Amino acid sequence: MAHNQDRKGLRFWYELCDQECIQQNNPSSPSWQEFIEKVRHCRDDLVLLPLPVWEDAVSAGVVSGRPEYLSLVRSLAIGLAIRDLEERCDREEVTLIHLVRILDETDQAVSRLSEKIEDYYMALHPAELAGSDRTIRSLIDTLAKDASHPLSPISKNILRLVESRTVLSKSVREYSEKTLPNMSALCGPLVSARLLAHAGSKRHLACMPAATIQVLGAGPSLFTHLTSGTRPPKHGLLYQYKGVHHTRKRLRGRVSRVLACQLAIAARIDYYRGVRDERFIQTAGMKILRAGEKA
Amino acid sequence: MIWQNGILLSPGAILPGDLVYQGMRIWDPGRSKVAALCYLHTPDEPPVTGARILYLGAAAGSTVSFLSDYAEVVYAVEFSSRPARDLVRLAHSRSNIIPLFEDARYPERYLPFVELVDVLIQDIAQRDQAEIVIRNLVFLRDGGHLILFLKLLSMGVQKNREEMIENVVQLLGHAGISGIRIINLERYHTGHVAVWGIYCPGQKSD
Repeated sequence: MAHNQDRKGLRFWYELCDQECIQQNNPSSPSWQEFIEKVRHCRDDLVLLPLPVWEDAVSAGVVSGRPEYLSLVRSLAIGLAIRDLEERCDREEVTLIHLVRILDETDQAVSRLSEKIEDYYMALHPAELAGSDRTIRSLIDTLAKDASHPLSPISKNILRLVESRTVLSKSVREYSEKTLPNMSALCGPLVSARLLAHAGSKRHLACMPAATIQVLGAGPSLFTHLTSGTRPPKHGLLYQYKGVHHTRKRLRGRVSRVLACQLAIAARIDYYRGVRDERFIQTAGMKILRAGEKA
Repeated sequence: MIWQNGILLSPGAILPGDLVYQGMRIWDPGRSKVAALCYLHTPDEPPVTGARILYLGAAAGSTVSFLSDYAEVVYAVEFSSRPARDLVRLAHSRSNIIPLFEDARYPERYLPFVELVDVLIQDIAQRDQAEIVIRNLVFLRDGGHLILFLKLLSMGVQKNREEMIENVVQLLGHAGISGIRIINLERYHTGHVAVWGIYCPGQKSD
């Protein structure tokens, strides 16, 4: 290359590749792992030259032609992407996000199935529509015990699903109290975990303004508000916190606003400091309580 | 490109979930904006056959898999980890997809691995989608094609539609894109338009 002299330590990616790598072309081999780490370092130090030209790689004697160049850059890109994906994920945070998603999916499955079973039962016994105090749960219990009934196996499975749901929700709580200690103290571990799952990561949550946290999960009604000027949503996921849905309807907007403001601070403490701050929790808790008291 | 009885087909290996017509993959305009562009603009199709393509906003790679059937090589950029996992899996099963797990706002991160390309396609629903594409013009060769899919809703809900498109066209004109055409994709993708132009950095105009 013409400007070979004034490169000052800058290199093309293929110049980091040794002969052993090329011959194997097996991204999981140790020499490839080493190569990928080297490229990652150089990329982060900004010492790689831009816009490589495959003909140069051939004349440098690294590859024999276009197909080999492409297969090499493809293996490298896959290796880099896998390493970066590994690095990017915080294990506890990712576990929590996925567990809470699975939990919500389980809840939905249970309630949908139970509803269908109740439909079936009511269609056959319309007499119970008036004055019976049978709940869906007790119906499923009886069906599960009656071995001759065709719905007995599925009822048993629903009961088992409810049991596993309890186990799952316990571990979601534990993870949430560990990774989001301050938020969990303010609005409960499950609601905090759902907020996290909705935001995608602790970093995203910490960057959010309180107003966004207040309406997380109320997407459709927020957009109807913006496009056709209906009243804005008071709360999204925060509605699930008992402090919000147990308050009088008139005060809910205020409580969820104050709660969202404190949660935005809590999210930042959780992300940047990662430890429980008792003093903050106390003052924030007081503010939230007071918002629900005044007439 | 391969058309049969008015259906756009794709010659590559069939992936799970593909609809198949006469033994070939159907490239559905409702699911892929590039296919929608082909359907709406039949006299001249996007020049993807045998081309080197840089695709920004590849997502899980469904469009990329079709492009790779026609193109020589597709560099696919995606920054969200969940779709990026699917993209890596896809790249593993095809020989000409190069996955890049990077933010398209910072092209300097993948600049060392991508060569000059013939076609630059961007499908990113972000407020600054026009600025992102301008930063990535360094990858496009002279006379290469730029295809930008604009999601108008992402650029603000209350602004005027024509004004927004006019703004983008002006920005691109200053950046050296000429012969800009606007193709409305409303029929297949609500709220989307395609902006298609040719990169001639020598003759900057507005």
